[in-house]
Amino acid sequence: MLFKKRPGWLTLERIKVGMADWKLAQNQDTLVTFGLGSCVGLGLLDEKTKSAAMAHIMLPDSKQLRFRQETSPAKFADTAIMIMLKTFEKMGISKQRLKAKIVGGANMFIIARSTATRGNFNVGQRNVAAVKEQLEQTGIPLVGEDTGGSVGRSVEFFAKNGIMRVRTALAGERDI
Amino acid sequence: MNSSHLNDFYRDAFQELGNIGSGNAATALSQLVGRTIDMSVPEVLLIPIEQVPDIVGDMEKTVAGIYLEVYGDVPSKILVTFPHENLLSLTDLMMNQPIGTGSMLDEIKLSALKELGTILSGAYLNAMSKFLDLRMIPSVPALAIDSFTAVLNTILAELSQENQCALLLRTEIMETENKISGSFFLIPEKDALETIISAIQKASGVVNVGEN
Repeated sequence: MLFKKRPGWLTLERIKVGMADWKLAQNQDTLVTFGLGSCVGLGLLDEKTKSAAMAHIMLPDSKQLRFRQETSPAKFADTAIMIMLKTFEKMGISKQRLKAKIVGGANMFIIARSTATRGNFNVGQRNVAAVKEQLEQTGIPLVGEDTGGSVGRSVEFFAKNGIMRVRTALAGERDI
Repeated sequence: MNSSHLNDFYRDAFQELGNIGSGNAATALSQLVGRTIDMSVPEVLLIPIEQVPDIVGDMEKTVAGIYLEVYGDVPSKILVTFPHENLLSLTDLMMNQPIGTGSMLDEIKLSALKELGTILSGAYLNAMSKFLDLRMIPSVPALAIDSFTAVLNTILAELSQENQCALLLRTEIMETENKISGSFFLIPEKDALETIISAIQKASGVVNVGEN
């Protein structure tokens, strides 16, 4: 962000959410993230205050790693939801007011290999399942979804109305 | 190797490895299409995985991404990308047809692109494995035609299960007459890095290189 917003000013901001990152936006602001392949974009929205948050999640579970990572909590489904909820709470927005939308989790490449030795390559599918499980546990309703398949997606998430605009390279765009 | 620090000796050594590999790959491509192929000086990057998309760039560009895994002594990932607008010319060249013959990407062309990934990777790995005296075996190729970032991020997500940083060896290859360009990425996994480094030490006769 180059300058601070002042209340009453008409400012339209596009806030970029990088890989393993998450960001907040309000009112006229738009959250954008590019290149969701197997990654999942999780958007949370409070309609009353027009507050939105979006995370670009790479992996399903922070506890399954074989090594310690010093990294952003938004990298994993479990820790991403936790940090987002904590921030909403600080803003006085309880999780009962939130709604969720998810995008991504594609299986871009299908490679033959022994699943016994290397686990399941389909990170996308596991990411979607993990995010849904976290939403269920926290009781946040999932109101929109565009997941799976084999296409990459980019997302714009509008804080003012909670619409997620999903773009693909060759398969057009749709709103959820 | 968890830090994003790579000393000059290894940076040069990795760059030379990239040179040896992509030189051989460019030669293979040149023979395949019967044209002169130029290549860039390989770029060596060792950076936290999350930063890769911003640095490697070209977010929204649509490409054909051919992905292979490398087994053996040096577990790695290979990504070969060609811009979407080049694909028909590229497959025309491969099929020995005048440029402009192909009008759509049918099954045969898609499979030709996969095969191209296999040929380039095979040539790259052959040269590298001879130089290092290590075994490197490529998997069958997988193909996605999609945005470059989505293709790259998927590989990075897979990589991030066991790695915090990514070492990327990137070379650009170019067919100048028809302006067809491509990128070749070799991404060794964490354990592979140490194997490569000791093989470099053996090959270059260096016993121990300080961490500066």
